[in-house]
Amino acid sequence: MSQQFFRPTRGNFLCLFLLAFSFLLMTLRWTPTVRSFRALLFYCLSPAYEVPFAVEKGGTNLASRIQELIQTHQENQNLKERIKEVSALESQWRETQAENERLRKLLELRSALPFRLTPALVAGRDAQSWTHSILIDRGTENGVRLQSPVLAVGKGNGENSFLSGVIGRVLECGPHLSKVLLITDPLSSVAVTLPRTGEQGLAQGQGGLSVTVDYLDRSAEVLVGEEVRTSGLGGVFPAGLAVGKITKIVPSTSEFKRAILQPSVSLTELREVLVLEKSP
Amino acid sequence: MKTALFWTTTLIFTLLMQIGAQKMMSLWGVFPNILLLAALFSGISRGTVAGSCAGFVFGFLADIFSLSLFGSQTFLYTFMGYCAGHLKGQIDEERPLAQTGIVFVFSLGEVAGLWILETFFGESNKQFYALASWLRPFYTALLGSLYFSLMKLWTSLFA
Repeated sequence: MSQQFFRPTRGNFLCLFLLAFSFLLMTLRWTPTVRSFRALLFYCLSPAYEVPFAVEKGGTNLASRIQELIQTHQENQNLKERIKEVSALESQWRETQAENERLRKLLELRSALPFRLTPALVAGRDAQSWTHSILIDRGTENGVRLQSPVLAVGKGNGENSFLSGVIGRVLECGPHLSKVLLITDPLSSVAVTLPRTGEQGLAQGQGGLSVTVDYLDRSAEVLVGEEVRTSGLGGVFPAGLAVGKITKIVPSTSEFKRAILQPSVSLTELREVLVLEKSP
Repeated sequence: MKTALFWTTTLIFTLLMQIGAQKMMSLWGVFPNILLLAALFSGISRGTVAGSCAGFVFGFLADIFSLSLFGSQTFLYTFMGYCAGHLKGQIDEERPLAQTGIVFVFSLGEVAGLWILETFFGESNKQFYALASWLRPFYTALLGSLYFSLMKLWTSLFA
């Protein structure tokens, strides 16, 4: 065993050499050469000591930064949710405020006009014919009758600025729901007048957003921008209600003049309406 | 080329692991001796020449950063690397208990050897009165098997 352990191989000699060298280092450790050599190696290798500490420090910082990032992300999510809630509340508040304003004016109007006014909300529209009819949430149980004129409320022109103008008449009545035929529907006809000249005509729907005014005298002076109101003829609409303004004079081969009228209220934005009934 | 790369990276990683072990694996002031483990693994896996050479280099590194007798660890690690080289192929990964035992014996021998060398050649051997010096072989032995497995994996990358 001992012969095998110490047999004279190159490996064993190398080991002996290294052992002798290290033993020499031990004995000559105080010599200036060995001390300088050791100092030099220490100086060269000492940066290695900084690596694990830098990694550890970096790891700690990274962990705290990740934690901060996660916290910030959660906070951000919460704030976004809060902003959404606040935005929804703000929108709701504005809506309520506007509705309150409209209803307040409506109450004032009810006492001022010689009509019984039934306020109603637009309950629905026919998606297939957006400009033809609307559904309102009032019916016979609320005093609504067939052919009752329906007005829009909101920003309008004229003395009763809250009354925007005629939008149509009640076509069908249920107990709590009514269908209103809009003045833009081709079946709708409203007797109108041009207050400036007293010229009379018939406003007829075209199915789009505009209405034509027919049967105007050929010699009548009709101006673009001129106001058109109900004439009171026909017995459905009371006289003097705003219908719209002339936007275009159309050349016609017939003996009557024809004009295009823009309704005084945007029929696509209706929300609250008034159903007119003559006071008993 | 592969061999040179293996030894260079092993040397760097072992040194960094030893420094890192002092900081992160220290238990009551005791930390494992990774440099000795590296020298032993080199001997056990590659034979006496590699063992004594690795022992010399790792011992020298230990001496540079140590306050103990300069050259003492170089001497002991070289000798232990050489001795471990005689166990080449006799301790495989399926015998972790044997690895732990061998590491413990060598580690204990290292502390005892240092004590003797410090007593005869050094200025003071008082550091060996501290319990931490004698607990170190236990800690090193506990990690021996794990270190050998990791090193075997590391070596296989350069095969």
